[in-house]
Amino acid sequence: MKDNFWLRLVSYDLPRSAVLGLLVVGIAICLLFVPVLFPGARSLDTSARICGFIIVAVSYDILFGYTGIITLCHITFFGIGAYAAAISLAQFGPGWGVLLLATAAGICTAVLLATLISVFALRIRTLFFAMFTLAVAKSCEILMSQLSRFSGGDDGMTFIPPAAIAPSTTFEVFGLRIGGATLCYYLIYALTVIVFLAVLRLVNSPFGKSLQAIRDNELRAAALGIPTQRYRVVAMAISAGLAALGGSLLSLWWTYVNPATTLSPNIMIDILLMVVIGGSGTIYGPVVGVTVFVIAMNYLSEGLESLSDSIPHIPFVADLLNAERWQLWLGLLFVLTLYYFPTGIAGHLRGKKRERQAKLASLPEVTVTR
Amino acid sequence: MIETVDLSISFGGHLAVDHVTCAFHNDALTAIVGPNGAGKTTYFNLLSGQLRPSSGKVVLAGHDVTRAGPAKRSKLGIARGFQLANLFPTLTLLENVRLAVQAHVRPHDDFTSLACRDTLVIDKARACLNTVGLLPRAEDFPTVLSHGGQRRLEFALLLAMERPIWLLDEPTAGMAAEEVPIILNLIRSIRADGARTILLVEHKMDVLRSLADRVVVLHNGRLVADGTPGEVMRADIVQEAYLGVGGKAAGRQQWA
Amino acid sequence: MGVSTAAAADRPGPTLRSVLMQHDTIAYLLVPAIALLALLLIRSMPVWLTLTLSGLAMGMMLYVMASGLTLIFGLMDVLNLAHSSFVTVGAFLTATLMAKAHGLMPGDSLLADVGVLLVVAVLVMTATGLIGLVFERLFIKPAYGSHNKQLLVTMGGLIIMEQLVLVFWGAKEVSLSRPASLQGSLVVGNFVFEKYRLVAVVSGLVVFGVMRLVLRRTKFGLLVRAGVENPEMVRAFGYHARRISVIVFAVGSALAGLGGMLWGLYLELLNSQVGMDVLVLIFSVIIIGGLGSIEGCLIGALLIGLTNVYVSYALPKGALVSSVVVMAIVLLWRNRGLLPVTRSP
Repeated sequence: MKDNFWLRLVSYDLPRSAVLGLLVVGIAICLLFVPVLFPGARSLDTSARICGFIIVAVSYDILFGYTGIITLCHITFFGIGAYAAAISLAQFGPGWGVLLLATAAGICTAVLLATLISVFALRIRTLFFAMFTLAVAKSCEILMSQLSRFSGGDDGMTFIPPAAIAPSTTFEVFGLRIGGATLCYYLIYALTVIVFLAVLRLVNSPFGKSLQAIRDNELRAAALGIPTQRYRVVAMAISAGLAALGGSLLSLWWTYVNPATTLSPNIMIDILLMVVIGGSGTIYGPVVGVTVFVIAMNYLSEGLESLSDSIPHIPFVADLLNAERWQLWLGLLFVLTLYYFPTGIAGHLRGKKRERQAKLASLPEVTVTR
Repeated sequence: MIETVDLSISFGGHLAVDHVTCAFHNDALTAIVGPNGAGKTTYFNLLSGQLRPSSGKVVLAGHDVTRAGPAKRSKLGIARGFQLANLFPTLTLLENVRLAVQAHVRPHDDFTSLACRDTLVIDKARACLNTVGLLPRAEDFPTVLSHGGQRRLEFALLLAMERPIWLLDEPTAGMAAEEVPIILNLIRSIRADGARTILLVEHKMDVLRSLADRVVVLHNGRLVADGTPGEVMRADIVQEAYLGVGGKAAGRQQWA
Repeated sequence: MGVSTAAAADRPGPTLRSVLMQHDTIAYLLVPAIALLALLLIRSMPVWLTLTLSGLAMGMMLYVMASGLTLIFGLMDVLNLAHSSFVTVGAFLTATLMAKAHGLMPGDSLLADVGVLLVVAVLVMTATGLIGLVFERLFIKPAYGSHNKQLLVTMGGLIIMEQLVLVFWGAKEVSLSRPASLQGSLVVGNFVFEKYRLVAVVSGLVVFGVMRLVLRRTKFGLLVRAGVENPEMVRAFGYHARRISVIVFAVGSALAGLGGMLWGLYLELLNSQVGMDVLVLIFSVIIIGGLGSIEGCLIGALLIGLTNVYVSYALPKGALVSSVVVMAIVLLWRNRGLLPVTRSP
């Protein structure tokens, strides 16, 4: 393999499909130039959400795609990060030191909780584990909504981020007016790129390859000397820490947190949908999945509205096409994806190439010379 | 060297392995035989750590490993082959073998280096693939290999682990007839270098006669005979144990 | 059981210690033990009785909702995340049917009210059972055998069903009133019993009794139990394993619908999240009970129901967390649940 900067940057793990590569690069470039290309609060908000959820989805892919663990409490780690930043900034005032410490504390709490959960619950069957983690996620949501003294309860809490990235500030640089929001956006963007590349590196490290071995065949992996149980716990911890980072960043963008947007199992379902639609176990796939999903979420309801306006009013059909029912169509889309593109967008795009390779590979077998 | 002392395991009251005491020393190939359900695979699982015994102990290279898991025992010297040759289907052949090399060449957790650029590991992995004749297909996935091909890949993995003790569970079962000699030659070649303790579960008598230095017979979970192939074949108890399933054993031979 | 008595006569009689050492006995003793512990902590008989009754009522309703899922899970190895939407559909159907049947319940005639409730129950179960058949065909069968895919497909099914409930019944909360004769409370001396809670306990016991009878005494039940213990065996006998699975799925969905009816009448105010809100409790019940066993499911449901009520009496905020803690403790003790059906290897 050739050795150059770009290959090293992506840990020699190329998208393995031209279309997929173009999609991911296109997304990265679009997100980079959003403040210039599509000025406006809404497009910036959509882009920040995409970035934040890319961190969450990519970290979830370490577990779901690479290790074969189904957890339904990934959103809890995201929420811990978000609330850690929110509560600290609200209590101790806006400051970079506070923000750094709060993010670190959020990540540590998430890692601790993930370790605790996995140490004693990963021994149980896959489906039991999924159910158990769902119960953990739900009870964390309820706990947070009831600890209203710290967290503002169901209504959530607002806080003021450090001045430089607060939405209300503007700077004058070389005659250009730059808002604090734009700066905050670029902070999130930069960290998203770093996390994406770091996770790509992680899954291509000896550790990451061992995780794949555990997913494919646990019995064998253990027989090769891979400490399967410990590696699973470590994978959970790393993934939880990254999710907490994503939570901190998005809460900075929103300057507001509440249980329904940062801890609810409904968001967990969204994360799963993003990873699966994009194609799990590829790291590139979830990036595409998040983008498709967030854009669909923002614009599907509008599309439905214009559709139902343009056709004559039929009672039941009107209810089906009601803009509030966009999730119905999303659910259908999801199930159809599972049936017809079970490996997601990335898997489907790569699959075509692999089929060609498999045809090439079906040469007669060589015989042993010894 | 590996040894079991008074080793038993019961499943719901049924003793699948019944107080087996037996030691396996270096540089010998021991065949473990017995009718279906005699407890051979269960015994292997107890040796390599997939199962924990109800009583008794397992001693591996001087350590009591009765409570240790498979990963620990692998580190202490066991390379285990399974009846089903399914490996890691979403990794290429080279990546499969690399995992086995990596497990002992790079024993420490490594989260940041690049597995695909580790030339030491890759060279060793390629050498192992070459030994079993699969090097030209290094970039394929195991799912496109024939059953025999997958067996050879498993063999490459075991070679790559560089362990002194090999446990092979019916390495030629379900294999096309023309592929069997390839595997047998591979077993001969690793036996020939004389440094390994090899345990082999096998049904085919001709294979036993030509390969085994020693034969251990299990019947209903109990060790009923132990000796050279010639001695064991003549022993009354073995005749008896095999007569019960004589037709089946003969059938197996024909079918293979 | 009857068969073992002859053999048992030869052996020395069981000592208390040996009986207690059997894990099953301990599992059965857990429920009274928790109730007793609560009595010691609460130290007020009337409060304790009221709490215990409402805990038992909640447990019984949970049992009805969870029992179908544990059978489906045990027999088909399918975790149906959308089970909760059958609960929702059952509750909403009940609201519609009760509104229609309002004229049939003249007031304080207990007999007429119970009759109407029984008819509504049959209709709700038939409807949810039929929906279950369609659901099985569309969402379960195509994803058979792969846990990941099942989980995801049923999650898609959950979203779709939940949205369809919104399409049919709208986004506003729907109120649902109990028949007149089942409102209010019974007062016996110092003790106050809410009537509907008694109804819930009795209904749960009836469902448990019928299920146990069917599973133990009928040929179909025998096949189901055999299928839970050893899926290969049923196929080997030549019965259509597929047909049994489909029937069990439909019955399980119908039970979820019945559970939804009981739960809806208990809440009296419904939104589209009713099922989702109890899903976590249903899961806790199944995990605690162990896979595929209705006795375990009953114990799990009563444990969760009682701890929820006791804990929320002492710490109103700790109810759901308490069920996660109970679940975690049980899993630490036995990682397959209290009374899992032993599968043959």
